Amino acid sequence: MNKTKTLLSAIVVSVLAVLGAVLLPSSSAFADESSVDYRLSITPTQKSFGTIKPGETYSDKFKVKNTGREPFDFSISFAPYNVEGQEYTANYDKATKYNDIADWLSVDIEHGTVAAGDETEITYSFTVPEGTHGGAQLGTIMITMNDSNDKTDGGVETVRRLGYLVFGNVDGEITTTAKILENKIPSFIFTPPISATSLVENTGNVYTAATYTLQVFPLFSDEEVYTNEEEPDKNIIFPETKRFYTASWEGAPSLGIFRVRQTVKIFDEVSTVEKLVFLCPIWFLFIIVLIIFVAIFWIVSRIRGRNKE
Amino acid sequence: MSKTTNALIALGVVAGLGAAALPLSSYAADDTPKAVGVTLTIDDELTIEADKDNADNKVDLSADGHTGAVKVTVVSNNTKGYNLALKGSAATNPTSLTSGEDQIVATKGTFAAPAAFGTDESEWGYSVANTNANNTTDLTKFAGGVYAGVPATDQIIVNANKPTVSAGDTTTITFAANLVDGQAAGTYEGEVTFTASNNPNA
Repeated sequence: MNKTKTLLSAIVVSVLAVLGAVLLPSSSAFADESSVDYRLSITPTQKSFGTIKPGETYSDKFKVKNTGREPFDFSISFAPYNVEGQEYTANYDKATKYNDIADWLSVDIEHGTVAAGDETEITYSFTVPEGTHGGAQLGTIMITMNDSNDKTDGGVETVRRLGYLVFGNVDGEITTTAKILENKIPSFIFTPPISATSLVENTGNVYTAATYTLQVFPLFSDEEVYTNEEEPDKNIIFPETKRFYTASWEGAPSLGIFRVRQTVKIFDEVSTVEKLVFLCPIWFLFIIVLIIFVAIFWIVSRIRGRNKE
Repeated sequence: MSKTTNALIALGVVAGLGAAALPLSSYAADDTPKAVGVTLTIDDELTIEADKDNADNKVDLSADGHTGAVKVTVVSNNTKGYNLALKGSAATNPTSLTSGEDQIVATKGTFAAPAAFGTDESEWGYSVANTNANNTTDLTKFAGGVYAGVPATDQIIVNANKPTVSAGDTTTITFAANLVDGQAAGTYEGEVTFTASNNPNA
């Protein structure tokens, strides 16, 4: 009886201990959100002002957020923004006629400190000078995090900064011309997705959005199995640049024959391509080819056998 | 039962049926499901951090082999992805490690064509590793102990064309130095700035 009581007591205590461990708040539940001392965030990260007019002033805001565990100082500077190559690699150093905006920009807070978990709202503005030539203007507002975590001499110090993009098209003498250099759909795809590629060139002096509409139909039907027609893919295309893009249907099946149509539009240029696409795994293709060869071999053997008879 | 009673009963039944039918007929007249739009706007956000931040933001190259790495993590919810660049940013000799008047210069290799260290003078450089399938820069050329010299202007090392996962996309930058005999003793320092920006989005 004593043994039974002892055993029961032990069981009750164990259960209570487990419940307590589960129900009591764990240290991780109250741990800091970040496990990093210095973490810089900005939101939003870019602004397209569309058409901007000489003599007018424009402004907007973004937030500098400290999502780390330690306070940090920050400083703000301005830089050009350009892109290079068909993959649109950023360039913050080259200054062209499209980057005067880097000299027009100003902010209400150029230096500051942000406590851990806190944020600072930055208001920036620019005035387009009278007589500014028409065309795109692209710039970057750089937010540099200056942490004081410089404990030792020597070594390579690492500095972090984020870029907030600003762009607009100055009203004036503008050209809106473009070329659609490529619009391609592959005939054979071995693994999903079904995709189509394109290369567009903006030969004008203002930026615009190119749109990419992808439609997929079964072989013998006009009822789409996929389309992004209501919300086509879009890309900003800056002046005097080419941009490569791949539009995809990620949910394509692994096997099938489809009619695929891609329509690319930029300014007044439109290009539509439609193609029959065979979608099948490569091993399946090999099996088909093997079956065909076996069939041919069998037919030839039969014919030779009859000829001998 | 009197005729009056029967009439009352009949009227009551009719009234009851009519009352029951009215709501039904009203629902039947307007049973079209009504769609209610729901919207949620999420601003794009960009975050940068480095694994060196917790202890010391410096990469130490003093140990044997003179190599050290920093992991830079970028978190981006931009549908068009982001760019990550690096450049030398020390106030003097931005591309070198400097100790007073003495320098360890940037190696001759570049991001486009990294190369092994030269042997004529002490050099330092970096290599890059990133496994993000959406990165469009070619980092395979950094295999096999080759390095690029830290430039004075921003060099894009990662150009991802899709948003990152919630934990972010981590790029490992390994710095290394090759010292030749006679390199002056001293504490050499340098500074590298990592810049991230989201890709432009229509």
